[in-house]
Amino acid sequence: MSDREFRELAELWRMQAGLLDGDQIRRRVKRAVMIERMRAIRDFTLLAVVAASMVWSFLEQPTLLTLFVGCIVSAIGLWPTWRRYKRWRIRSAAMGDESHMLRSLLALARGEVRYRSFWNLALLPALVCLIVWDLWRDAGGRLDQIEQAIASKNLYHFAFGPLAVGLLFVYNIVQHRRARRELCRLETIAQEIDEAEAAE
Amino acid sequence: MDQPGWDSGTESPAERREAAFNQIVSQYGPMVSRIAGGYEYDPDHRLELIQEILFAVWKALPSYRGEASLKTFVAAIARRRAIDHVAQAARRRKNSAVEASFTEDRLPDMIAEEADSARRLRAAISRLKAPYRDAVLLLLEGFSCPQIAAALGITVNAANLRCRRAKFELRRMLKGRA
Repeated sequence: MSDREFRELAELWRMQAGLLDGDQIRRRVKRAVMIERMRAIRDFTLLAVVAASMVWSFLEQPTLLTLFVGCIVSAIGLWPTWRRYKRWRIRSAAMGDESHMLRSLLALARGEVRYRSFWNLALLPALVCLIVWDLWRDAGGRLDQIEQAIASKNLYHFAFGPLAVGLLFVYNIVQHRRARRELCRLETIAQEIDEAEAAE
Repeated sequence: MDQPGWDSGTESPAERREAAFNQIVSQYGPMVSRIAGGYEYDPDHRLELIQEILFAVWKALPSYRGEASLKTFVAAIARRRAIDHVAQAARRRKNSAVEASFTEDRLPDMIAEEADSARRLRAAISRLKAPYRDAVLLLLEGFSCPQIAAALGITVNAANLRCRRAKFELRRMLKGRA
């Protein structure tokens, strides 16, 4: 392509006004800034609530099992916040090493695929563990009280768990597919960049 | 304007940041919009991408120290956000650059031919591989090779080579389409 041909294309390209309405976009950006602040407040509140309930639960029944379950529940609750924070950090880096950014995005996407795969397998055992823990807690940690703890539960107690797990499973499957598509797209971009760099 | 007015000293940092941002939107907004158009054809999603890019510019403004020109700074941010946007678009099963149609049917007949050429150019750009698309978009915006090198984070020699290949690929795509 000659320089003249390319200049003509560039002129044609720059003649496109685009979709930009300055005032509208300023308003949208201001809104996005506000939404981000509100999300930060929400995440902080969630963190505080999870920490407080863990401490409260441990103070109520100071056993190793309570501590263990509290830690697991906290980790599950805080994982999406942690992931959003990591993504935010990658996105906030204005300039710098592009391959580092791509590697970070790939690592995030792979992490999410693994996370979703893990939960697809772990949801049922997690449900069983939660039921056992709940009964154990109600029985005051005594095996001979387990039957009484079971008798104290009604049908809703036992229906709620499987229903919640079923919904979570479907949600997880959808998210897993989405994460795989994102990973696939990122891998294609990374491969194209690697090929271009190898050719240079 | 290459260094927006955040050194004026009479206003608070927040006001200076806002003034600088407004200047950037006025001066580089159309460029951001066109770059976004190179990655996203769907008008609604393109607007989303423009917003994401300018939001990232807003957040990054305090870190701008003038290492590169402001235009390069904005373009580099635009490109990084576009890559992330393209990956995110895959989540919602949306191959925006290829599948979506470019609708500008409100254009008057007089410029219909130009619009058709612009549409073909966009379609050709959308079929380029990611690194060549990046280079072509910046070349079309009038960036020099050193500026492209700074925006892409590669050496000037590599940028030269990439630009040559990108032009070659663009020509091939345009001929293939014609």
